[in-house]
Order: sequence, then structure tokens, then C-alpha cells
Amino acid sequence: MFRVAQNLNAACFVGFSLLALLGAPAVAQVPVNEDVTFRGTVESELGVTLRDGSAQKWDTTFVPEIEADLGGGWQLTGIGRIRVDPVDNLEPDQPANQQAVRGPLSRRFFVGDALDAELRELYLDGVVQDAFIRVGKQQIVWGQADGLRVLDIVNPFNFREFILPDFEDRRIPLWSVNAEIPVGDWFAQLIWIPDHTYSQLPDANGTFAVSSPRFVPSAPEAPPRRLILQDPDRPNDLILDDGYGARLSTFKGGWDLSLNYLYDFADDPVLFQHRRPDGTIVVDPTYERTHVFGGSASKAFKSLTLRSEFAVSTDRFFLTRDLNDRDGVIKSTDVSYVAGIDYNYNADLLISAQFFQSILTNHPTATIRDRVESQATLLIRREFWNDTLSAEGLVIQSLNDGDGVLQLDLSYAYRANVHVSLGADIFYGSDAGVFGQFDSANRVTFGVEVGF
Amino acid sequence: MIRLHALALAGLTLIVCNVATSAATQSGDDTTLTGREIMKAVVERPEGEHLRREMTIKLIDSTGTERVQETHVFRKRFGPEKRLAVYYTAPTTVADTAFLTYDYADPSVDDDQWLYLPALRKVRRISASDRGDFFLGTDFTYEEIKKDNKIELADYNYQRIGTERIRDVTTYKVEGVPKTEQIAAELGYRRVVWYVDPKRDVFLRSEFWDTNGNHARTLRNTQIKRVDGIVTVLRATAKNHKTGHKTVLVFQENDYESSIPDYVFERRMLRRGL
Repeated sequence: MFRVAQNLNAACFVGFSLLALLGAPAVAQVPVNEDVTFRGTVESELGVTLRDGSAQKWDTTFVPEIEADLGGGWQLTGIGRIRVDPVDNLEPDQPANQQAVRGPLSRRFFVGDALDAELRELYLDGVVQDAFIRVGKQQIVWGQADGLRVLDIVNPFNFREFILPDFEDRRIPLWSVNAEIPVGDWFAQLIWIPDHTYSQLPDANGTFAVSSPRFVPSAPEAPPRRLILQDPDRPNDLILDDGYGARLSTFKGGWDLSLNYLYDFADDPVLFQHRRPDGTIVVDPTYERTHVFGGSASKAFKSLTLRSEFAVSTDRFFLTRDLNDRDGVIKSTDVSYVAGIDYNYNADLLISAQFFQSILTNHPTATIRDRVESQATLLIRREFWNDTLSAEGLVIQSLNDGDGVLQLDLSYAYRANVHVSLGADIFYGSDAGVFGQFDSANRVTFGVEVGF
Repeated sequence: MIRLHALALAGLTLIVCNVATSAATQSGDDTTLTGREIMKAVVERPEGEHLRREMTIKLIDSTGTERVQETHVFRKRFGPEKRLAVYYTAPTTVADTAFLTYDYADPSVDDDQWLYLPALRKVRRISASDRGDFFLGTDFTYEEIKKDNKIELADYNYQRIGTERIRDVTTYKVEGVPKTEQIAAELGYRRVVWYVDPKRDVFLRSEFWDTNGNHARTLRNTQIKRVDGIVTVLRATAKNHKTGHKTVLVFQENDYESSIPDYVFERRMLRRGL
């Protein structure tokens, strides 16, 4: 109780400081000197659970960013994040699995249970002849889809709030070397990822802990009804376990085209299961290499914009309900694609629809997930008053299980550097579904963001 | 020999006529110029091969509340094609947003446009067909930002409708009516009146009437100067009469001399940022 009170006091201080900033005049970025710029945001967001009106979170986040011009066309950029959440329901206490999923230089630092700090990005940027070089902790983003992942697979994700925050905040930046080199009419992007960090799921006591049987093995029904989950064995051999990728992109005949390839460990461990003689099931999460071949294409046709991407991922593993299966999973190639159409009207209204499918080439009958999984998304965004007020609704619907999520957001630019927002995140459908499993976490949110 | 004399005479006549026309245009009192000829001179006004500058965007609502955004703007000719890149640098809430457009010489071909949104970290292809849409919350249209105080000559039928004095300049008043309903729909206007400074071939004022015939907007170029010998608008305002909202663009550090690398106009540059 005392800890919660302390946390609340700290958050109140930060929250009121933020509110005080609202009354301050608009301030621009701070030029430390001609070569160094410092800027950042402070954001506070309160989430209230609809089911019982309790606080789900009260994140207050400080994101400082510094840019230094080093001369000779080189720049250094650093972005940090300090976050306080006195409610501490999303990741109660401190995440137990951090060391198991994150490399030593990509971990968050915790001060108590409510405050965590993270070096989000730190990279050196340069242009060598016409090649762009970026070395350091960074986000590398592929693909054209919104809200769905087909090619956006270079960086792992933090699922602290499942898929609700912006992609920018959900991606875990990785220490990487990234070069984009012109080759005739094409650009070749080559990436090397020596950072062995993978997606992070909340612990079992977190608000958005995964419970759907398609992702989590269940305990045996017969005694002793025990299931032991071991920590993943994270790859850590330099070079041997590193990720490697390449992308070729071009602009031809009005089309934006890309061809992509990534050879890396899949971000989610395979949940291999071994049954002991006493009936206990031991789950041994193991990261497995996968080859991903893919591509994307987009083009504008009058008021419509077509976006599409596909990926073929080898050596993916999926849970099976076959009790006689040797390791509890089946191996298959996954073929995924997404096609979307954007319609713009008067630059103020955007209507965007997408259709996504994931198809397994090997699908024994006992496989828990369907052979073909389909999702559809619809985004409607309307800007008002010269973009000072923005209203947005996004629905992601599973066409297999009928579950989905509706995200509503109203954002108002009170000043150039002050935004206030009101939102709602509503999950619906079966508890066994990807989205329906979180219907007890439905919430409304209130937020303030101040830039400096 | 006779043929050579004839050619020389014809050439001399042509030069004299051109000089006369130019002189008449420069003096600002040529009553023989048609509306189309006046607008053609505007379109052909030298603008340099490339330009880099800083653009401050002041967004002022009907209550007087002002939002200020800072950008870096780059423009460059690639043969007959013109490319424009706008990189937002402040405030932090919009910093790193970037816009890129390829403006093709053939008016029947839609331009290609991309927008980089930092929250997505993705370069999005955006539609360019509705040229009259307002540019990122301002009261200037995408067409106006791209054309930079010029127009697509083939879009309108022109009529010279008189003169008007604006700030000590007797301007040519030219009315433009979109040639087709489709062009009117794309531009969002049924009628435009331009007030052209005849000495510098630049608009001092433009008035727009929407497709319902309502007086929609007024654009004013209130500060114009020659930079590196090129007529350059330093301050422009757009007033939206429907909403009462106003946008002021202030152009500084205009530089037509320094070269701009081609990669500034590539999609990968939007992701990387300046």
C-alpha cells in the first residue's frame, strides 16, 4: 500500500508538472549550440478499465532526443524513454522474462516497479558517396501495411499493451548496421543485426498476458495436471546467431516496388513440449531460424492508393492438440499477404481498408490454428479545423473467429506543441481468439502530450 | 546573297518584335497582351534549376490562436520534371514529417506524392489527383505548394479583365476559368482572378471562387524580392473566407546557388530525415 502511495505521489508530481506546461507559451526545440539540438516530449496517459472503472495504467513518459552534427555529413542521434506507471498493472512488479528475451544492451532499467528507463535509439548516420549508412540501435521498418505485420519483421515487438500503442512505441529497436546503396535504378539495403533481442510478452500476471490456447499450451487434463514453462534459450553467438537481411527497392512506372529477404530467428520462441513419465508437460521455448522472402507494391490511381505486401516464411511452428505428437508443435511454411486500398477525400478524410491472410502449407488436422487465417481492417480518419482536431476509428476483425478490436481516438492540438486526446480500445469476441482474449481489458484513455 | 539578306531581315524583324514585346511587358502598360500571354509569362518566369530555403508556416485560426511550424524546403529540376521535398523540423509534435512530390511536365499524368509519418516510420504513397486539397492543415493547396506561385497553363481559359493598383503597382487583372468540369473538381474552383505584377510576372493577389460560386479564398504575396537574380516571394498569406482561418508562409535563407544532391528527393531520404 505504501509503495502504491509513493508511486501515486511521484505520478501526481509529474502529471501536475505536465499540466503546468500546458499553460506555458509554445516553445521550440532547444538548440544547445549550432551543431547540437535537444528536443523531446512529455506524455501522460490514463487508462480506465471499462469493466469496473479501475485504473489500468497511468503512464507518464519522457522521451528526450538529442541530435549532434559531427561534421563531414555525419550525425549522431540518441533517443531515450523514461516511463512512470504507478498503477503497475500492465507489467506488475518487474518483468521476469527480460533477460530471456533481450540482449544485454537492449534491456530496460527498472527503478522500483513503477519506473523504467530505456535507451530507445542511438545511431550514427552518414552518407558515403550516395550510400546511406546508419550504425547503432535503431528501428528498421519494411512493408506497406497498417496495423498488420507481414514484412515489418526486422524489429521485435513489446506486447506490454498488446497491439494498442503506435508501432513506433511497440517496436524494440535493435543494434544493427544498415546500409542503403544505389544500384542503377534500384536501392539495395543491406542489414546486419548482431542484437539477439526478441519479442517481449507480458508475464502471466500482466493485463495483456496472452491466454489464447493457440499461443499457450494448456496443462494436461489427467493428473498431475502440471505444466512447467522453462525460460527460452536465447541465441547469443556473435555472427552465427546474428540476423541478416536485404531489400531491393525501386520506383518504376508509378509503382513503388520492393523485394525483401531476412534470415533471422523468428521473434517468438517455438513452444516445444516434452511429456515426462509422470504426465507433467515441460515447455521448452526455443528460438528457430527462418528464411523470409517477400515483396511489396504500391501505386496511386486517382483518389485511390493501392498497397500490398507478401511474405513466405519457412520453418514456422504452431501448436497442435495431438497428445501423441512428439514435441507438441507442427512445422510449416507460412505464406502471408495483405492488400489495402486508401481513399482520400479533400485531404481531410481517409478511408482505408485492408485484407490479410496467413496460409500454412502443412496443416495436420490437430493443428490448433486454422490453415487459413484471415483478417480485415477498416480505418476512418477525419481531420477538422485545419488539422487541429483529428477523429479516428480503426477496427481489426478476425474473419475466422469473429473476434476483433475497435480503437477510437480523438486528438486535439491545443497548441502547436500540446496535444490532448481521448480514446477507447474495445476488444470483442471469443476468449480463445487473438483479440477476444483481452475483452476484460477494454478501456478508455485520456492523454496529454507536450513537445519541447 | 539575296536569300541571306532575306533571312537576316526576317531575323532582325523577329528580334525587334521580341524586344518590343518584352519592353512593353516590362513597362507594364501593354494593352495588347492577352490574358493567356500574361499568364504564360508568369509560368515562364525564371525560377532557377534548384532552390533550398527555410519555410515558416503560421497557422492562425479565427480567434487569432497561432500555431507555428518550421520546415526545410528543397526544389530541383530533373529535366522537364520538378521535384519538391518538405521536411518538418519543429514543433516536436510534427518534426520529422516529410513530403515529397514528383511534378511531371505532362499535365495529363498525375504527380507522384509520398508522405513520411514518424509515428509509423513508413513512407506512405498518397493520392495526387485532387490538386485543390489543402496541404497538411494549411490554407494553401497541394497545387500551390508544388507550383510555387505558378499555375498549370493548360488548366484554364483566360480573359484579361482590366487593371488594379496594388501597393503602387498597376497589376494586370486576369480571370481564369477551368477548361473542364473535371479540372474544376480537381482544383476545387470554378473561377480565379489573378492580379499580376507586369514587371516581375508574379501574382500580388489571387481570388478564388469555389464550384458553388462562393468567394472561397484570397492569396496575397506581400513581400517579393530578387534573390540571386530570381524573383522570389518571401511572404505569402492565404485567407480562407469560409472558415476564417489564415496561413502565413515566410521564406528565408533562399538559396538558388548551392547545389542539392539528388538523394534529397528520394523516398529513402524521407525515412532518414535531414
